[in-house]
This record gives sequence, structure tokens and C-alpha cells, in this order.
Amino acid sequence: MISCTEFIPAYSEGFKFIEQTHGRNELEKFWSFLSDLYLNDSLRKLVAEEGLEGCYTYWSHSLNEEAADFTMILDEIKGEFIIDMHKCPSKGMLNEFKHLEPYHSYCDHCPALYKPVVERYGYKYYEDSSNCKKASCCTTISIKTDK
Amino acid sequence: MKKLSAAKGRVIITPPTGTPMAGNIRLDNKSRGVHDDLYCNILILNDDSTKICLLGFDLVGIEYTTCEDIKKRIEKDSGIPSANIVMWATHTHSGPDIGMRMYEGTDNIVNAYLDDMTVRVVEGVIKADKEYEEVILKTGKAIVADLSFNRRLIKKDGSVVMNFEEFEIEDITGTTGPIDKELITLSAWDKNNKLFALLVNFSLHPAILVGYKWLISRDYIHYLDEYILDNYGDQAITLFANGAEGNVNHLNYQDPDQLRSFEETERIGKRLGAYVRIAINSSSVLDGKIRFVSEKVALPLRKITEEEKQWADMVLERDKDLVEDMLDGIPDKTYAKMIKGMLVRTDKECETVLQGMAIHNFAFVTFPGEVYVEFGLKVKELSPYKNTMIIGLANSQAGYIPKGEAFSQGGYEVRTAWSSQLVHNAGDILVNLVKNKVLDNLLHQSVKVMERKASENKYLHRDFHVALNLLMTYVYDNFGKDSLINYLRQYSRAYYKPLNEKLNTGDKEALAAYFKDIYEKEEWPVSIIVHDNSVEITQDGCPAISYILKDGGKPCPFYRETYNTVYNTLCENTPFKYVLEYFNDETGACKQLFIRKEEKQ
Repeated sequence: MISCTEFIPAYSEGFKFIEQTHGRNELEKFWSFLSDLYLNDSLRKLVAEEGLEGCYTYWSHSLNEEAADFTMILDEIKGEFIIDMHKCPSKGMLNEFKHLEPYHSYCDHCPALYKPVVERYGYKYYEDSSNCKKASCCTTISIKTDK
Repeated sequence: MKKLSAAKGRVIITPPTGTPMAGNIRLDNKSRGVHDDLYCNILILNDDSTKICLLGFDLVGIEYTTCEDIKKRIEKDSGIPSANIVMWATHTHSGPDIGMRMYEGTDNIVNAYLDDMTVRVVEGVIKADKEYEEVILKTGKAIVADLSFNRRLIKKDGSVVMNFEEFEIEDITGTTGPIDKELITLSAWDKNNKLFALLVNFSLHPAILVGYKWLISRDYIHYLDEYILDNYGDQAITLFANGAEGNVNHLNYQDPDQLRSFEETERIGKRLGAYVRIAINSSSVLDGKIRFVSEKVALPLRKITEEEKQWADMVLERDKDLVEDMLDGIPDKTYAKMIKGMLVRTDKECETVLQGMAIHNFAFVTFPGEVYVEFGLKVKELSPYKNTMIIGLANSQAGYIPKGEAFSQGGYEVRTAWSSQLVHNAGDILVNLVKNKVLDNLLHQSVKVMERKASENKYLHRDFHVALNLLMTYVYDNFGKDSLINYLRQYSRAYYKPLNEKLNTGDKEALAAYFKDIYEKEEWPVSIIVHDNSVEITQDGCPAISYILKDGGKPCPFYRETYNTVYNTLCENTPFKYVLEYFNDETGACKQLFIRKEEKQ
């Protein structure tokens, strides 16, 4: 059994495996598949019904269960949802493994999964991943001002 | 985008001819006919969790008790919570006198009108509440600098005169305060992009006509409505909500030729309509949930002074033969009568309701009376919402709410009467209440912050079972079983390297400790028995399979390889071999053995 607490290394190794055996394009196809299926009944449904508050609901659940170190802001007045990830539990866990090399572009899966879901409902997705290697990033999902 | 639906309705509330008219003082105050019908316009907004019913009445004011009665009846018959019903008067000065009841002997007519109106409005809301359409809400703004004027003029000697009173233009140095130039719209658009309903907010007394020709009229709002219907189609319902219009009217003191006429209401109404168009053209989509607050509050009433009492006695004696007749303003004799009436009042406070609604960067807040424009501007300054409507004359008729300094300046709005009955600092009290009880509450609902440290939560995200299952399914479906096995081997070799090294030394306790730890974290019952030469793990089900099924998913074919392949690989180059004695693919019930190779069990 691969415990859900061991999923992150299994995920990272899965990315490596798909890229090594079938190339980056295939990996991106997998992320797209995952985005469609994994997020269909959760984030997609919540954003469709609740808008930005759906983002808040989705990540309230997942980030707390993942024991992330974060500040999350839903600012309906600005039309913004922000996750300021001080320490990403996934990337943080991978960084702590001495014996395991994480997939080189592990953090790429986040925008690959979430961006299409929120963009489908007219939101803008922006991720500042400049501190990604240190397991820190900032994601902003906002209402497009040109709507 | 958050889905919203809306319902609309329009109920004629024109009083029968002969009903006494409000907003002007005439001995013969009974209406002669109707220039244009009065309405109660209805807009109900619904985001599935909150339903807000907006009711705009073409009346000079609407009493708290009438509001509460209508709200309770609507709640009873429709289920819309009474607290979520927002009622206001547009303040037309050419409607029925339902509040002050200036003349004796008219109570029966007014009461019959109120009873009939209440029934029709409640029926109208219930009917509207049955037909919702999905809508997109937009808010827009236009700057209107040429239609409204602060009506308190400062004369050269420093005294204050109202712009509807007599004065010489050259004697006026300016006005005591500003105007609110913002015209704000909240528009609802149907799926065909047609205007479904419109809420317009602007601060301007509808007191152009003040009972002109004794005809019932919505004043300039009638022509504003006509403009909207002409330009956006007759399916649109327009609600007009007056703003902080306490000291603002249409009279430009520098223009002595301004007329009291239907032509003037048409000029102002249609000009306002053109500004509404500008606001609509500049509007942006609102995306968010309906945030709403409703708070009952009590406002302190002004105490009638001994001086006022003596003045009233004197005037009533002095003017006993005088016929009260005044279109703009109130005659002394009428003031005196009201002061005498207010003296027998025992209440020290008047009840009212403050409400606010916000969606995205739009909000409205209500005031219970005719608030001075300075207070409206102050609330807009305090509001974090880009477009903030001040809806005056809402939920009760608390009368004028002037600035404190106006009481020493004098003028129409500050004179004690039923139309000016709150304490002198009521405006400051209300601004604080609106800030603390309405705006702060809305802000708290509109902006949420969650801050967590990793140490505050347990790491257990079972959805990862679903994600892993999808990863395995993808690999299996697209590349076949061998690839799935190879992936699991790769994972096992990479992840279990430290455990594999311990097993290599024969450390079966490390193996047992590992399994105890992961099952504890999964909060899953398991039997782990450490024998002399083996570790035996028995489970009635697999936590991963159980969760995938519970989530409505289907475990990947060969899900058992997360046991078989993973742990066989773990045992590579160690004195142990892995035996999966049995495995139920449907439940994951299984017995696993890690056995020393040289030993036979």
C-alpha cells in the first residue's frame, strides 16, 4: 500500500517516470488528464458554483489536510484569491528527502492542474514561483478586469 | 463566476383621487388626479444561499411600523426572511401623505390606502418570487455635476437661507455644503444581454412638483424611468433609490427662471437617464456572493425644549386664524402643531433598521431618513467598496438628519417637527453605526484571511489516494501493465532506499515500525505481528481502495501491485522476501508476509 502520506514521493517519481519514458509532452498530457478528472468534482464544481469563494473552500480543505504553512486571502472586493505559501508541504517534503531527487520541475504541476480549471470560468491565474525551490510560492486567482 | 438569479415585479400604488398629498402644506391637500402612476418596484436577488428583496416605493416616506408589517407579511407568505427585505421611499413630494398626516379627518382615507397598498405589494413580491432568471450583475458610475444643488445658501451676513426661500442672488456667497455627484447603478442583465432590472442611486430631492396641480406623480423619477424603458426595452424594471438628499434639491439659485413644472421634471429625469446610460456603459461585472447585514438600532429622539413649547403656544395663538398654505417648506403654525403633538410622545428613541449589501466591489448601505449629503459622502469615504450607494429614507421615516452645525445656522431641515425629530448629533451616531455595524460586517464577510502553521494541522490528505489511483490508471491505460510495474518499482527503489538498507542488515523491527507508523497515520486498523523470522501484516481492507470507492472512483486494475510490486522491490538485495498470501481486489483485504529467505515458515 502506498499511504496517502507517501503520495508526494510517488507523485514526483510518477512525473519522472512519464517524462523519462514518454517525454515532457506526455507528462503535460497526464497533468491535463489529472486536472480534468481529479479536480472535476471538487475545485471545478466549487468555482462554477461559488466563484472565488469556491477557491477558498477548496484550498481551505486541502491545505489544512496537507498541513501546509500558508496565508490564504479571499478578497471579494478586489476580486482576488491569494495563497501565500510559506512552506509547501509537497515540495517541502521532497526537499527534506536526502536519498531521493525530486522531479526537476515538480512545481510545474500546480499551474498545469489549476490554471485550466479557473480560466474556464473566466478567472486569471498567476503564480509567482521564483521561490519554488525553497518550497515557497504565491498564487493569485483574480477576476479578469476586462470582463 | 458565482451564479446569481433575480426576480422582478412592479406594483401600482397610486392612491385614489382625493387622498391627501404629502410634501407640501395646503389646506386643500386632496389630490385631484394622476399625472403618472406611483409604483412599488421589486427586485429580488438570489445567490442560492442568500435572497435579498429590494422594494422601492414612490412615496415621500414610509413609516417603520408600515415597513415591519409589510416585511412580516412577505416573510410569512414567501419565506423571504423579513430581515432580508430592504424598503425605501423615493421621497416624491407628489404622493400620498401616509406619514405625517397633516390634516385631521383624513385618517380613514390614508389607512384604507395603506391597507390596500400593503396587500398589493405583498402579493406582488410573492408573485415575483416565483419566477427567477439567471442574471449577470454589473455596477457603474457617472459623475453628475449639473442637476443637484446644495439647498442651504449662505448670505453675505453669514446667515443661512434655503434656496426655495426668498433672497437676492447677489446677496448669496455660496452654499453651506457640497453635493454628491456620484450616480451609481446596479444593473441585472438576462441571458440575452437585455436589461432585466436596474437600481439607480442619486442624491436629489424629488421636490420639483410638490403637489403641482394637485396631481399625483413620481416627480422626475417618472421621466427617468421613461428614458430607461425607451433605451433598454420595456422589460426592464427600474428602482430609484434616493441618496443623501437631506440638503440637496434641483434648484440652482443662480437661475431665477427655473420652473415648477412637468417640463422641468422631464428635463431633469431625462438628463439623469442620460447619466444612467453613461454609468451603464462604464459598468463592470460583479462576481461574488451576496453579502448582507441587517441590524435593528434605536436612535435617540430630540427633547422638546421649554423654549420650543412656549414658542408653539405663542404661534398657535398668534396664527389661530391663519390658513396654512405653503408648497415649499412648512408654515410656523404647522410646526407649532407638530411640536404640541410631539410633547405627548413618551418614546425617547425611535426604532429602525440599518442594512447593507455587498457583492464584489459594489455595496449599498441604508439610512433611515433624509440624511445630509455630508454624512453620505463620509460613509462613501469609509467604505472599502468602489461603488457604494447610500440609500436614504429606508426602513423608516426618521426625518431629517442634519449636520450638528446646521442647528445653529437654522433653516428648514433643523426645525423640530415630525420631519426633524432626532437629536442634533444623530448624523454622527448614524455614521458610526453604519461603519461599525454595517460596513465592518460586510467587510468581514467580503474579505477572509486564513493563516496556518504546518504544526497546527495533522498531515492526512486522503484525496491523495484518488490522485495516485489516477496516476496509476493513466500509466496502465496509456502504456500498459509493464509500465505500471516499472513505475512502481522505480518509486519503491527511490523512496524505500533507507528502509531497504535497514532490511539488508536484517532489521525486521524497522520494517514493523514503518508499517505501524503508516497505518497509524492512516488511522486504519491492522494487525502487525513480528515473529522470529518474519513480519506478518493482516488487514480487513485497504485504506486506499476504501477511500477511492467512497469517493466514487474505481481502483486501477492491478492496484494490488502497490503491495506486490512495491514490497517485492523493497526486499531486493535483502535477506527478506515478500509474500502476498491473499489479496481481495475489491476491498484490499490481505495478508502480507516479510519472511527471511533462508527460513521456511
